[in-house]
Amino acid sequence: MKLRDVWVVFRKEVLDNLRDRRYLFYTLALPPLAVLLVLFTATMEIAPRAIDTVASDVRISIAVEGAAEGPSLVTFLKQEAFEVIAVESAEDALSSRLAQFSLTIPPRFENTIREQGASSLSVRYNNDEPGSAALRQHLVSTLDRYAEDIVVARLRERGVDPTLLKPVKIQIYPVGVAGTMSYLAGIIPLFLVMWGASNIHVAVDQTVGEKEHGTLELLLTAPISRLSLVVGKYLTVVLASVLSQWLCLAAFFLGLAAQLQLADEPTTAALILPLPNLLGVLAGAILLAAFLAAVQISLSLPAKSVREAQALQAAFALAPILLWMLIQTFPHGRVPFYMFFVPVINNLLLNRELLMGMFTPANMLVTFLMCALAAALALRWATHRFNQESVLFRQ
Amino acid sequence: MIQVTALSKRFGNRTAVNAISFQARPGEIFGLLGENGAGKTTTLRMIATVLSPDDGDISVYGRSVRQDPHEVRRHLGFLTADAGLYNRLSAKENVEYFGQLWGIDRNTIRRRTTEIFAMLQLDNVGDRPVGTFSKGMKQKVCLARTFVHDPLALLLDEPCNGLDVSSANAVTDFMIREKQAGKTIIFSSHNMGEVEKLCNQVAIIHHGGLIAQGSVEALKGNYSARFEDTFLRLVGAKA
Repeated sequence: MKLRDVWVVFRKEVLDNLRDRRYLFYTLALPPLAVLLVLFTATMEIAPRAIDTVASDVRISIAVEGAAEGPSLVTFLKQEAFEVIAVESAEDALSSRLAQFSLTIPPRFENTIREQGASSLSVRYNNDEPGSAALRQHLVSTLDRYAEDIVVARLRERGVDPTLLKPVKIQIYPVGVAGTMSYLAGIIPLFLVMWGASNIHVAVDQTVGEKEHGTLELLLTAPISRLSLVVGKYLTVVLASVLSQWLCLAAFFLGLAAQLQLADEPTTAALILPLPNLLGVLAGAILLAAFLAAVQISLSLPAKSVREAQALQAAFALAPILLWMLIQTFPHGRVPFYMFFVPVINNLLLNRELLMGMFTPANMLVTFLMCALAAALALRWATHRFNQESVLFRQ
Repeated sequence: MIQVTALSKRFGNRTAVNAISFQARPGEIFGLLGENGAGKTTTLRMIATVLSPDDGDISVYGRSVRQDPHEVRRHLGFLTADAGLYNRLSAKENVEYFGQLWGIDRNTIRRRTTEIFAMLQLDNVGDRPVGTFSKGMKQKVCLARTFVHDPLALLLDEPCNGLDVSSANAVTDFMIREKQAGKTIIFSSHNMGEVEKLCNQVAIIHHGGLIAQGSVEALKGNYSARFEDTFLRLVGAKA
């Protein structure tokens, strides 16, 4: 293999690709655009919630029946940023979806409390609404605080220290990654592999596409080794895959940073990955591309037509999603170490770890070694196919 | 010189080429004739080292396709029947790419491309993407690509197929010029008029075997005054 020959093939293929609208769209434009679209639609609600179970600026509407019976409670709820709607019937208000929750205050509620008595409140909500559990938790904890305030006031009236009732105060300090990164770590790895595997048209164009256009046979008469020819083409597919993944990653970070800036969120800093983790993700993208490109070339070459190759590769593109679903089946996301020996799966797992701020050298080493080995074997397979007459001239 | 000796090729149970031998000399155009599927393209592909012979050998200017295919390729220019181009590249870029694959330096490629484009009247369209070209213009670019590296031998598989009269003339004029320059040319065609006009020697292949070989005049003398009738009688299509 001569590097000069590889460079000649590679340079021509890149030039050809850059003039191909499909390449510009599917490889360079679509991955970041799709990511931004997902970020600015689906995560408009999810991201702030992921940062803090229910952020302070999320307005929860609550229909209150009997508001006149508990004016101090209504005031408290308003102070806690709830949107209070006074209604005649809590049930009707909920069934007509006037509000997310309904609260029924019984008659003489406030008088009963003032007279040192006990009362009850009824909360209703639609548990089939997405995110209702987190919102319910927020409402219940708010009402608990209201009740605690009453208890504290009563104890103080009696000259009793309120801490008598709560001798142990539990403080929680989250030490993991911020919610946003945790959320991103759940979807970025899949996006990276999906876009890494999506450059089918580049591999198809350079193999069966050349057969169909009658240029492959002429290339085979050139005085360069088959290995130089295959490697030149292979590197073009690798480049496309890496570019798609890196652009996808850049769009994720830039898009989310912009979104958080617009929302005036102070957690933008949480988006900054430690340098070794960032380098690990970028290098992982190259190794994944190295493996996928060789497989795509090998699968495309024997096809009789571009259409046949595309049909075959479409099934291949679904594989990352299936593998991602497989990973999700492990309880609590705990995946056994041997899974790091399986190409593609190991890339998904490693990216998830790195994006969550974890850095396990053993996992990274095994992943990189296995990806490099798989890529080398797949490239050897691709080169072997380029030497088979039955593959090159399949009728 | 191209020397083909007892050349055979099989695809599964089917024998595509069966022990054929012939010799094409420098300064000659050697015609390879036969019906569709006779084995002409397979023979040319074996000479071009794209397919490997099952039996026999081919020597191109003293180099064996079996033992030294890489060196054989340096001396050959191959124009296939359905030769394609890279439509998004310009005519010059197409030709320069193949020049680079043959290891020619950039300056020489540019000089050769300019000369060839002037000869084939492509100089005004050299920078246009070939996707916008007519079939005749594309065939001229294919021809330019085939001999940008100034090969000693040319293999031309039906080079005038589907071309209009002026494009076909440009191709045949080119072949005559290259013959006069001392190149060895093997040419396959269905057009008996072209063969009669251009070829010094012809070989007729039928069902993979060589059934006749010699000059056009000698074959006509043995069978019929019209070369087309001679061909038809030899392949058994006409009594």
